[in-house]
Amino acid sequence: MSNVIQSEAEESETEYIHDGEQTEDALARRVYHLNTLYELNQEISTLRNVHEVLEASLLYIIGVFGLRRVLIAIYKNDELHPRRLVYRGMRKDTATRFLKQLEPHLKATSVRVVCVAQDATSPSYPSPLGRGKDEGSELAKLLKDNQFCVWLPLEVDEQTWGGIVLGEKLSETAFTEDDLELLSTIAINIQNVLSNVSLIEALNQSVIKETRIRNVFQRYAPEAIINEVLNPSNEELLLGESEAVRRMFEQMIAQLEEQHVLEQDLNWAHRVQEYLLPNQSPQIPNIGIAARSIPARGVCGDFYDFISLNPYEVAFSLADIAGKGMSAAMIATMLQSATRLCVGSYYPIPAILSILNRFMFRHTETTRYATMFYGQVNAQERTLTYSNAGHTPGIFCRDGKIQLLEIGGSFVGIFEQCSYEQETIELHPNDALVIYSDGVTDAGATPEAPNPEDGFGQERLEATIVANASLPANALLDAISDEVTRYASGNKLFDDITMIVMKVE
Amino acid sequence: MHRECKINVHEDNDLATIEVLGDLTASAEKAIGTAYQKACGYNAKNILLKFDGKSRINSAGIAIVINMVIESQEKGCKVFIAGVSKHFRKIFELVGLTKYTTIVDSEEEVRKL
Repeated sequence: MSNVIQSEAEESETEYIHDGEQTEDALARRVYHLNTLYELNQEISTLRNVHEVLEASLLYIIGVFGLRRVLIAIYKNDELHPRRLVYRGMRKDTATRFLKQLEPHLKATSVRVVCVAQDATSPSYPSPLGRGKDEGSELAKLLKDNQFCVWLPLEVDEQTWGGIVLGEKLSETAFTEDDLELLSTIAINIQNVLSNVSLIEALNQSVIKETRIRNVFQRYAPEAIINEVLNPSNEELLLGESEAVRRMFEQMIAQLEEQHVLEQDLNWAHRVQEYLLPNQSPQIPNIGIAARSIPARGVCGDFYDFISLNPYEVAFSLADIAGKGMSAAMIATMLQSATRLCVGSYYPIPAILSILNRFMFRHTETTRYATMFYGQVNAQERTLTYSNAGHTPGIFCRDGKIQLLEIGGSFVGIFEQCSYEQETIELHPNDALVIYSDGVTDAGATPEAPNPEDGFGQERLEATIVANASLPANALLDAISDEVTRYASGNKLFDDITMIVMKVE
Repeated sequence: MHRECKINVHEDNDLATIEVLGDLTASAEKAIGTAYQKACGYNAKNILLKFDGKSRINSAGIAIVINMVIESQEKGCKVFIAGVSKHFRKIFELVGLTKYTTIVDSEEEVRKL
């Protein structure tokens, strides 16, 4: 009997380890994807030539999905946008022949993504056609006949400029919805860069052409005419317009280049963050939930998230990454993805924070860490269970009295091993809960001399919550936001402001 | 912090070794291509791509490794990879590279095979 129990225990432990390994795999894959997006964006943002942008993108796409054959084509083919083709894993004549076959289909289609399975007989290689069109389309047939799996158009200013074509994965696994989502985000990055780089290239061409005309003119025009034209008194008149155009082009190029790099970074981070933020607050019976995030610098080093566990239970998290700007936003995105994966695995709350802690420790620099408040609220059992990883205390308000939610453990990502505690609170009607980042209490302090005493502060926050505790969640959130904004008026935010508000009805 | 990539190639007893010191990213594509052509020139049966244990390899770097492994496979030459961290072993596995190449702990391990 004891052997049977021991065996069952071992089996359960093995399952737990197996689940853990799968979660680690999924985390590693997600981090790899996010790093790829970040690095691809960084790299192509510095390039000034369409061919180089396509070549670099091609490499990242091969590497991120593990592909043998890839083709990226630009076939707009007008004066400013000549035809381009980059490819790997096939001969040039194969690539050009395929592109020729592809073009007529593309003009006739408005399909966003086409994904076909090469091995139709294998159930392990299904076609994730969720967002694409039918497999029976001519385009899908053409892809299949040429042993390609995915077609994704590259669109600039609502015009199809070309597209990306992927062959099978080395892993022989199907393209998933996540893969297509990632590919779409990569395509958006490429499209934005292409739009600007094409313009820069076209302007450069104009400048080169203008300089060439001038050189040819100086070399071959009759001396009398040159003297006439280059006579200082006439130059302004005759070459003035041309010179002004050249100067204008040069200025435009310099401005475009500078603006282009900054915009690319911010746009990319915005898109990833928007993609990950919840579209709306979750709905569970008798508990109102509202949330808001205001970035201080265009991108946010805080995040909040909700994951519905069942019709009555919601997991929520609010984290603040040490540091600000792009790098903090990047880590916030990483941690948010990791949190979603862990929550999906139904680990106990302290285990989730321990896994996230180890993940942050392993995948970020040693100076990088996050504070995090993680909880689960159950409307059926009327309970709140939470663990606070070094975050500002959650504020729980019942009958005008404040309880600070501080049970938990250390920051996430500082030490390789960390254990966490959890606390469960029974919820009563009219209870209010506010989880917030320190940007709320620091609002109003100046970045040059950030003295916490100048900020909105915890006392004012508690007083605002007590004064408005009878309001529903959305109205309570608005009341706090208004109070903070009023207090900070005139001072630009120097830290992100993020809040989750819950109200028991 | 990006570590500049330096590449050495040598051959010993039917094993051509391409030694990669530093990070493998898109900027190393040309240098790796040249090193690979040199390694193929030895007509060795096996090629070892040896990293220094601290190398960071991004997606573009992995694409370079994929292209090399596929080309070698077409030539009937086997590619081994050594000196990669546990993290990059996992990435190689995720992208399907481990189906086409063998990851080993050291150069000695390849020689014993």
